[in-house]
Amino acid sequence: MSGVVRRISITVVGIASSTVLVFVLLRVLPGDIATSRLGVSATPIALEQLRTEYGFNRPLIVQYLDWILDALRGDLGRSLVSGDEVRGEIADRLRVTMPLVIFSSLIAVVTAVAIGRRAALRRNRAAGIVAVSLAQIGLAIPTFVIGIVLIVVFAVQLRVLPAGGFPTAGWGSPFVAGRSLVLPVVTLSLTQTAILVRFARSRSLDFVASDAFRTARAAGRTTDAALATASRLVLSPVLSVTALQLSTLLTGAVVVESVFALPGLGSMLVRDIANRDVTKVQSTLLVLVVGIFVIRLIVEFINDRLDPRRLT
Amino acid sequence: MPVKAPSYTSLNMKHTMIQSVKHSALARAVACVLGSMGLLAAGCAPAATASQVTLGFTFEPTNLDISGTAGQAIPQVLLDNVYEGLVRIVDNGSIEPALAKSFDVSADGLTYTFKLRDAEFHDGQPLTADDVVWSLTRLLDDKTTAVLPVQLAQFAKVLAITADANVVTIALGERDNDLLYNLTQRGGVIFKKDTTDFAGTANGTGPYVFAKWDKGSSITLERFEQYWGREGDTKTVIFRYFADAAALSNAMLAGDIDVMTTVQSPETLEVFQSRDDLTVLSGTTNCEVTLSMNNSRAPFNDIKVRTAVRQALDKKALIDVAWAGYGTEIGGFVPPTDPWFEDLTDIAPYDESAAREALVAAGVVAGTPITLDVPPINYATNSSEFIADALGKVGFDVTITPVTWEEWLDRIFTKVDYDLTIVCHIERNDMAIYANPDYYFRFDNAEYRDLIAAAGAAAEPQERTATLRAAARLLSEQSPSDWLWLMPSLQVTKRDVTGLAKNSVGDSYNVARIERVS
Repeated sequence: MSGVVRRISITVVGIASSTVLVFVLLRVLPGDIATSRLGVSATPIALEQLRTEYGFNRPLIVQYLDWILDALRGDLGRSLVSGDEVRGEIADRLRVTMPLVIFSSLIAVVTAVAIGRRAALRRNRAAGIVAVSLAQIGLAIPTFVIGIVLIVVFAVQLRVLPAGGFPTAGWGSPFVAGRSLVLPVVTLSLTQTAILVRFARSRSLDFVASDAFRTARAAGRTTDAALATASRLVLSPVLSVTALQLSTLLTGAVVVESVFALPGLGSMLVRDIANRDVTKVQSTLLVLVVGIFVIRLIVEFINDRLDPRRLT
Repeated sequence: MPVKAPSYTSLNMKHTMIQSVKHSALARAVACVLGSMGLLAAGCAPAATASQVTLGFTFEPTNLDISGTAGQAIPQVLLDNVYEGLVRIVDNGSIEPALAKSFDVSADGLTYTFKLRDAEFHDGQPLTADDVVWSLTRLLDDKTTAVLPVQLAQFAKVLAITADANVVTIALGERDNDLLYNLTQRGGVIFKKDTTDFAGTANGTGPYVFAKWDKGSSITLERFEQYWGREGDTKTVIFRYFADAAALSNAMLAGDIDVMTTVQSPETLEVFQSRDDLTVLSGTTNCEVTLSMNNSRAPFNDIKVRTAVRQALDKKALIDVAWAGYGTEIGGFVPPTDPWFEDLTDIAPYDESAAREALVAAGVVAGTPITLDVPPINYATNSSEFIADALGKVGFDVTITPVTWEEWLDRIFTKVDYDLTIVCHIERNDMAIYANPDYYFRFDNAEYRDLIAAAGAAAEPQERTATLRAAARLLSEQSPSDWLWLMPSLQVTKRDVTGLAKNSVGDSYNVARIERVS
């Protein structure tokens, strides 16, 4: 029980300190909304007046508390640039980013565990070595290169999938929407798989060398069946790493969304930062931070179930 | 205003076209459904019909406030398409009446009268003289933050705007030769009186209605059927936005869009040129890629040093390296489309040894360290190494410093803390920026200032042209900056798309004449 309390309090402290960090970092950035809206020829007087209208001349602590207290009530504020509610815009963008991140994570976990196990069993054979080398190469190639290569092959040459974009009707036209996410999901999951394969393989190797494995084999099980008994052990670190990788995945999503011109959360964030739409950026980051912390918490609890030894 | 009636043949053609489109659309839909089960399918790209054209852009608007938010993205989609002014500028640079049926300028240049035509806003309300007075009077309140400071400055010479029946009069305190042009741009847009929501909606009088905005993705314009003039040629025009230039190119290559309105990396043009189904269009812009020197800081406070910098750079080779040979050498700060343009490339021509000697004579020690601040845009990054290398050969030790746009605005543009930087000056008729000694060039020349002032007050167009031509020559001789090349306006289109504006003469991207002919 104390474990649960400890984990939850770590999460709360983590989120709280992240909000301070986000708030401060956004104010340290050079340039602000006034210069970005009025352009290069704006006079200092006009800039100052606009800043006052936006409330940026109030004490920082007041601005911070305003933001946090509103956020706690579920009000994420309005974009300084468009005037739209931030909550609605985030929800809108999540319709692209959520499936992107979820599907690529799922694909990555499943393939990584499968490949990792194979690679462990055949560690000294060609198949195993090829699998590990491919994983290394996968790690070395930047996401955007993978994306561009896939576009050139499947969209420009073969013309079987769109080069990018998302249908105007969104998920209202599920087939078109699904098709436009195929290449982005593959792109994002390739890098992710490459990272996870190494963990899956090393954990599988540990198990292959263990007494439990030898016993299972001695009891007459095939290698595969014997290894299957260790699924939980292999899955647990893979899940932990996946949760840890979530933030990397979101940065990857930023790149993928821009290469594939997808209206997702990542591309929105990049634009908002460029426009110095601080209210929106800080609230978007808040949502992401809370999301990441909560998912990690959930993974911790799942791992406790998968591997009860952790609790002792 | 007569509305052009479609001839029998074109009606008939449309009919057959719609039928064939229907058939192929059905076939495509079936193919898509079957295909997405196997996740792959050929020919599933959204069916492009003749009544729809999709244009690819790089900068998406942040909101719709055409008068209060800077940047080109908003006027690109809204100006002349959704919103209109009293007058408008066409592709060859001439100004013609728009919401004004006709206009007159008094002999002293201080009174402009506009006779309004019968037009309707997209929400059904009629255009009135009150709307015009209200819209333009917004620009006279110099305390407001609802209108961009640059527009307030453009209308600074206007004293009052008044209306009598359907005639609007603009009275000026002094002659302003740029007023008509400024009225064609965002400042001249006519809104419905008492409009309050500028950022969220756009209620204009133009040939297209603002229909839909999928943020992060596209804006859809639909033809306005009650338009006062010739209706838009294509029913639905979609502006699609690609934050990434490579994504834009790929969409063009894959056939997802019909027009790529900007080629950000000209080295990719070869790919498009090799395709039979695509056409590359090259036009002019007002964008002079400028190597700015800090005239207030040694050694660039010395005209001999500035001239030597210009002589050290082989522009032709630079254009080949940085812009795939597509730029135009201009030798000054005037694009060839302005009447006062003259070829000034013979001033400070490329001569490496002359440059080296001039620097020695000016007392610049070999290896003098200078910094070249490079903003994150490809004309700058593509040319920075070339410039550093060329200046290295004549005696400088150049450090290239990449800067963000925010840092550029803050440190270089505002605080003038820099040696050299590269930026494209895109404003039309922008020679006056060199007449402002506080501008980040810190170029301070009384003779030039007088010429610019004289041109502004000139009563006759010929006099103005001659004065500006003299000013341009003086400017080039003083070498406050170097002008690397004139940016071309490059577009790629599908072969069957017609009616595109080739030159970039203002902020709008006029879509009314674009259509697919097959």
